[in-house]
Amino acid sequence: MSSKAIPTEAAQPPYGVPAEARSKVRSAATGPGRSRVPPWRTRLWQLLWQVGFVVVLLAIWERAAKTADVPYLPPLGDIADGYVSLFHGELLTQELLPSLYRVATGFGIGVAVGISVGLLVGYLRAVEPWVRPVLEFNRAIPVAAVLPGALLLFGATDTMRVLVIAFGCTFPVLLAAIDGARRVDDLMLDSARIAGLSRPQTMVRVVFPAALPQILAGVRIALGIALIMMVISELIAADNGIGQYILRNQRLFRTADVYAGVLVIGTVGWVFTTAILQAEKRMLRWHRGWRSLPE
Amino acid sequence: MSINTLMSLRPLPTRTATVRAGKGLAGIAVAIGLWEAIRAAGLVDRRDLPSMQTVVTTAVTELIDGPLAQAVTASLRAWAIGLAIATAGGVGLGIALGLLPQVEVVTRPLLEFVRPIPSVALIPVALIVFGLGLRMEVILIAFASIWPVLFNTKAGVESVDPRHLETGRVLRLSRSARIWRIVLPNALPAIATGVRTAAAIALVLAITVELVTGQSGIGLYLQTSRVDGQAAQTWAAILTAGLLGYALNAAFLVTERRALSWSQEHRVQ
Repeated sequence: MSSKAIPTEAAQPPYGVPAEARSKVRSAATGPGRSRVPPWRTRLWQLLWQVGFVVVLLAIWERAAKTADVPYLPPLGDIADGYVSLFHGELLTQELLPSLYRVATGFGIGVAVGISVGLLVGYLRAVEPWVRPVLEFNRAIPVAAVLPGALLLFGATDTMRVLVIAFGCTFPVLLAAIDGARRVDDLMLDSARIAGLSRPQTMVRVVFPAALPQILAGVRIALGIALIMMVISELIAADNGIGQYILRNQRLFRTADVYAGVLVIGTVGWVFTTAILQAEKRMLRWHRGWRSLPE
Repeated sequence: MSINTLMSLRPLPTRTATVRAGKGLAGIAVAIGLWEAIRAAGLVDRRDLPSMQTVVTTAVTELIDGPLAQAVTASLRAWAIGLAIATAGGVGLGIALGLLPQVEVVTRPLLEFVRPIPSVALIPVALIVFGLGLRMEVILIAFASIWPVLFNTKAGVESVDPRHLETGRVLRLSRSARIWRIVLPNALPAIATGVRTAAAIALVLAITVELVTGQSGIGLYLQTSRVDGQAAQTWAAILTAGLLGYALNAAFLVTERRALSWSQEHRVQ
């Protein structure tokens, strides 16, 4: 740390550049004499350390599971068995697929409503002050609190679960879309008018792409909420689904299956997040600030 | 984010602000009208969706008489303890990970693995490990809300201008003095954003834990009133929870704006 060279003029980093990019600037400026280790070797060492750390943690767990006889430390093998069994056979169709259906439908509805209403409100600027407080309030409701109300109105049905997920997803996307649509450059809107685009055409071809960065930020927040609402709605009122599976096994003290269920939910979350980040990268390749944004 | 943008705009002239507030109130009136219209049209059972007047009256009486006020206090207590732990832990770990790249690299797989798990899914796990009680609730809240604090702190620490750190070294500041006087002030705006995000998550977790496990608070109040068929109380509690969420977020925003006004230009996206 202390051996770092004083940066030369060329190495002066632009303000606000992510640390990784900055360190590249620095090592480029200090020249090839500084690091003789090829980058792939550093990478390899990193990987070894990472794998080693995980292995050590798992070994500690396994050892504790064998020596200490406590219910919350089941052997890793049992957890792995439970995890795998959730991806085929009856558990797949009875627990995982219903959950995936609910979260996908609710998320889809919420995002679609959020984008369309949000763009419209943001584009028709005069509307915005009328609806803003109501929207902000709906967003501020802690999503879990909505569930008892939805249970009153719709009962413990799949419709209720999908609607609750959709409700949670709508408002972050909607408010992001409003902000995105409001920040569209007037020059672009004027150009669209001169080019003779109708209002709907302007919405789809100018306002939507321009607002996309904000919208996608809202979508990412909505995804987290969708998963949370999926689990909550199944913890409280369901006869199937992965949330229910976890709770049922907890009551039966089948701890390994509880952990397996949690890991499956984590996997689902990871897959969704990765998919959205990839889509985001692809859709925003054109976006000016994209390159300087951290991934 | 959205209130944030709204508030970071230049202060409006008072007359425009009044007009804006008036339009907002009109919007709220329309929303209430819509609620009543759904009732009148008979789209849902009227007993399940009481009139807004009943809901507001119930909320006020339940808040003054006690049950709802007690529920709010209980939830806020768990929320505050959990959030405080998450803030302390998240800032500490975030600074450590931001300043020690080696540690960050080694622990990255673990963090990236644990982070996407929705913390509500850990409620059953927490029940097994900690049993029922405030301790379990607080630990869950802290675990759920530590992530935004941790990752925002880390990002804030990493964005510190190296020239500032080098200046600190030239001035022969000790390591702790550099952290305290250079790194921390630089990361403060990012930390504040993280804590505000964490505050909202913590409230969701508190209410969920109470709903599922029967720990006293808004969640338990919602659950019992619904099971007892007291729809007005359920909706009153939802309204209160919404107002609480709104007020907490606004309080954090105002505090940030006051305390960190010097950093505003860094925060405009």
